[in-house]
Amino acid sequence: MNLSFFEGPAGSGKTTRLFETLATTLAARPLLPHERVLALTKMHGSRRRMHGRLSSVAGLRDRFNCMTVDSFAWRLVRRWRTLAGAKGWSEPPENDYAEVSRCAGLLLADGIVNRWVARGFPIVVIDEMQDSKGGQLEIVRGLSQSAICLIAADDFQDLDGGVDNAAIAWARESGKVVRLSQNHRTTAAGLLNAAQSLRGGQAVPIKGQGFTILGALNANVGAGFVSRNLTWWSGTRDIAVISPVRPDVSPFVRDLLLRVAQKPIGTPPFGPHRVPWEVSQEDECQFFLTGLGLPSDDAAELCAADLVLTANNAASKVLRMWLDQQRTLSGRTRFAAREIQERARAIHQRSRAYRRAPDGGVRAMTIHQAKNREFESVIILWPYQVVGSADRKRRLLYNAITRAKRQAMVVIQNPARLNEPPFVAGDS
Amino acid sequence: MKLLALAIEGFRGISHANIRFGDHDVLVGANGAGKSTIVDAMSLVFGRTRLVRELTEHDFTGSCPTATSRIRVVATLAGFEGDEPNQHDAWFREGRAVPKWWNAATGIAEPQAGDHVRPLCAQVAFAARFDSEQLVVESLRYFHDDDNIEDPFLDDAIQQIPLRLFDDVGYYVLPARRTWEAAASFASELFRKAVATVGGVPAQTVLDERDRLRQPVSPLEGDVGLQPLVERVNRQLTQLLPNAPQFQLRVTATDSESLLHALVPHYSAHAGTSLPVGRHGTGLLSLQTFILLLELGRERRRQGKPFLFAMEEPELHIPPGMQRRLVAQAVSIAQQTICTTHSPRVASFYPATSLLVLERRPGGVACTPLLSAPLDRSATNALRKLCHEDRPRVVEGLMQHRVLIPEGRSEYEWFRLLADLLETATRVDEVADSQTAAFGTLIGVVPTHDSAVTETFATLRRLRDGLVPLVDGDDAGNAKVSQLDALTLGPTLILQWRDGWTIEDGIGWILKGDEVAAGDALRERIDTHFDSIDHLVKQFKIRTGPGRLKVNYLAYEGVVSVIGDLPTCRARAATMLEALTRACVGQHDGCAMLVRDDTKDAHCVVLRLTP
Repeated sequence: MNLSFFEGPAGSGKTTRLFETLATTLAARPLLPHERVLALTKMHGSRRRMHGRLSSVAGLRDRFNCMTVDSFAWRLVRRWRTLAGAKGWSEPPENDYAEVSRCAGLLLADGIVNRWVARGFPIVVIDEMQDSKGGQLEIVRGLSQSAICLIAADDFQDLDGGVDNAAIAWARESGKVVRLSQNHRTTAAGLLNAAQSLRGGQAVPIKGQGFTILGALNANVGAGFVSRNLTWWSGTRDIAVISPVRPDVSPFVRDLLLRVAQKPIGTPPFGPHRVPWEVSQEDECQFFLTGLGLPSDDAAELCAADLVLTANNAASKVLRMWLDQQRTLSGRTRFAAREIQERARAIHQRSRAYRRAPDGGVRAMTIHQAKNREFESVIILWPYQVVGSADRKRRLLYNAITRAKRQAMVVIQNPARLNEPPFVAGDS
Repeated sequence: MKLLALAIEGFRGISHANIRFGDHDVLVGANGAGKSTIVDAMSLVFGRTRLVRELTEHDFTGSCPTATSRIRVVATLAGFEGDEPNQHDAWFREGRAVPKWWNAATGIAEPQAGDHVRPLCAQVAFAARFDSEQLVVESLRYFHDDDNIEDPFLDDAIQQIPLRLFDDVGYYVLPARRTWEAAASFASELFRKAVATVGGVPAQTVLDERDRLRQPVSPLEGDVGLQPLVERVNRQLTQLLPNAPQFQLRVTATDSESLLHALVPHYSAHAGTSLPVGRHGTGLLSLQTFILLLELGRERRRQGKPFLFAMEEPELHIPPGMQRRLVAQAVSIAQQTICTTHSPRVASFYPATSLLVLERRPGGVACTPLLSAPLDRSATNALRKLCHEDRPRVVEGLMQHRVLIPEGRSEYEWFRLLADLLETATRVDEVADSQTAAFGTLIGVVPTHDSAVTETFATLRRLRDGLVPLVDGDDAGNAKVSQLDALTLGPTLILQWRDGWTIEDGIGWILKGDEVAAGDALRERIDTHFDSIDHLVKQFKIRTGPGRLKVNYLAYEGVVSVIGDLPTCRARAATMLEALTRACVGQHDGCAMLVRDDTKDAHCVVLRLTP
């Protein structure tokens, strides 16, 4: 097995090392004319970023396939369905991503299959391996049987995880482990301290170079802090307002963001600031579905012509194409509302990412959306609705703080919660 | 590379077919059984689209394709050395075919190798659909992953095939239509390919010739007769354009491409006159195409490249003596040949196990080898004769609409001679008003040996339907009716001579149409003594011993030529063959000579031939 595993905290340059190693691997073992590098990611957002980085590797232009694990798995399962059937594994439904991954993982355990993939993709790159669970881990394990695998991960960035991350345990014992500790993202001592404290389960210093934690009694007070910092930091124009939950879950987050955008606050007055919520894949899909004007009854039948598909976005185009295909290829013009919903979800999940999130500017997002990205400045909102163990809360906060290159501020709903984890040591 | 099997769906007359190939096979069958459709299906999947007409609605079975109608051709290819997918990157990897293993017993490509499941194979497919909104046929060539594929046009995981991969297959076809354009000039794909494969374009010679054409020694525009015209044109141009160009005439567009386009092969005869191939008649053209393909194949093999050769009717325009010789060459050059033919001579070049008989059936087209395995020691003489010595006659019979299986070789000869006679000797005033087509155009006769009607029938019934046994009107004949009727796949109709009769009695009945004249004429023609026609008939029944005439085919010819000379006899012969024809095609009602026999407790219809 030829596997290199880069492990280290956020900002330690795992991804950079991953791509450096990819370049040296390619130099030592150049691709044959038909070969390509396979890069797998979990979400479309990271797929886009990975695509950008792969394009910049010398000699790799157009010689790589960067896709989400889900679309890789689906293709593999489709192409090998005869073997899957012969082995008695039923073909999973298209939208059951966990089952598709599980089946792909089973297939890739077979040497015939993993060698078949490796002959096309002799080198596989996987970032954020800590998020590969279940079938996805099995997929990587299978690939590693025949392909050179370059993997990066940090178990503390596994947001759903507990102490034992199977993917990381496997990677540690299966390959050459490179541990990275130096933080290259920031030199701000306050940020470094806060991150280190969270990893160590210790109390987080309230103030430090480039880092502050503030308690806000209500959304208005919080809005004051946010507005003031947005003004102060306006020089960088690359600011993320990050929240563990979406505004519709937390009135604190919702009201705070509204207030910031509404009118100036304080003396001297700060703002107002436009802080648009960055559209996530799910948002986009939901928004798209709402726009279609589907009947509320899932089982209701509708005519393709009744769908509102006027939007000129990529998803509309793809859905229109699918409807045309159904008409011309199968003679179908009537569909159950549920079928359209499933198709729309599949389009958003599997097909290429559609709307490119703009770089720079001020925008708000969840911690999940911010994963694997970096910003000059970060404002973290910490509402009541953060659930889970103290460990999970530390992981969330850690992920949010470590997105910052220069400075970060945490605004806690209710100053009293400064005495609770993740801000202090111990369990909740 | 080797084509193991071809599955066809919805293509022209073939709603469904599954054909398995050996190394060298010949396809025979009645007209319209689908021989050329099979070759065209191969051309579709292996990408020599130039040799296939552009697809239209008529290429879809039924000619009225709906949204879900598909033409689908799946080819299973083997011949991957070592049978190890890891050693064949070009075929088996992500983005190419999924490896499968061939189960020869079931004819299924299985996803896992096994003890009896080898060799390694790849499945490639062609699919087409008719777009009724755009009025075009859209087609797709892809790796066939799973037999239960719903629709390749809707499947987003489908992997298309890069065209250059087909060079690995090396599929070439000798088309039935050997037109002048398709074969004769250098512009033809075939000619160019042959030249390129063998030795490359003779570049310098072409360039020299091009330069010569650019600077002709005596240019046409310099011709005295043309000069006034040329001068006037040049004067006009000068008045209209500054720096006006000068008018010139050149043969070809003076680039190498148009020079190559203009090249036409010529053949010079002994007299020394050189004529373009198109002026020599189709024979030479056919031969040229064939020879070019063979040379191309030879060169490919020399270079270690595969050569899969499909020959459509190799007998076309080629003298009989040469046909088998060329086919033999093709077989020795190509790893695999697939031949369609109407010629029993060509067909019988192939062994019985390679002789595939096509038959149109309700579920599609079936393709069955004359023998599924070579005959072993236990095989009867009758079967041996049927599959070896008599193969050309069997093939000829099988190509007909209905096939008569009599008890012996004599009937075969009698019917052949009578049918020939009626085809050639019938005078205009005798052409009957009959609604029945002539015996010879509809009915084939298969010679049988050792009276093995049942065995012959059972062997041939695997291949096709429409077989009609004809047995004698004696106890042995009755026994055969029972035997035939007891077969699992038995006949629907059995013909039997009237009680006590055999074919010879039928001949006697024909001769008695003009007994005196026939007797006199026969005494001059046949070197034997007989008192009466009845006496003669008896002698024709004797195989050994004094006075024997059975299998004396010279005597048969004498009898038939006498029948031909006597109008009443000729009429009786015509009536008898018409009765046979009507019986075979199911129009026996109202025919006086055919009497239904209900005394036999048979499942099938038994008709007694009762002149």
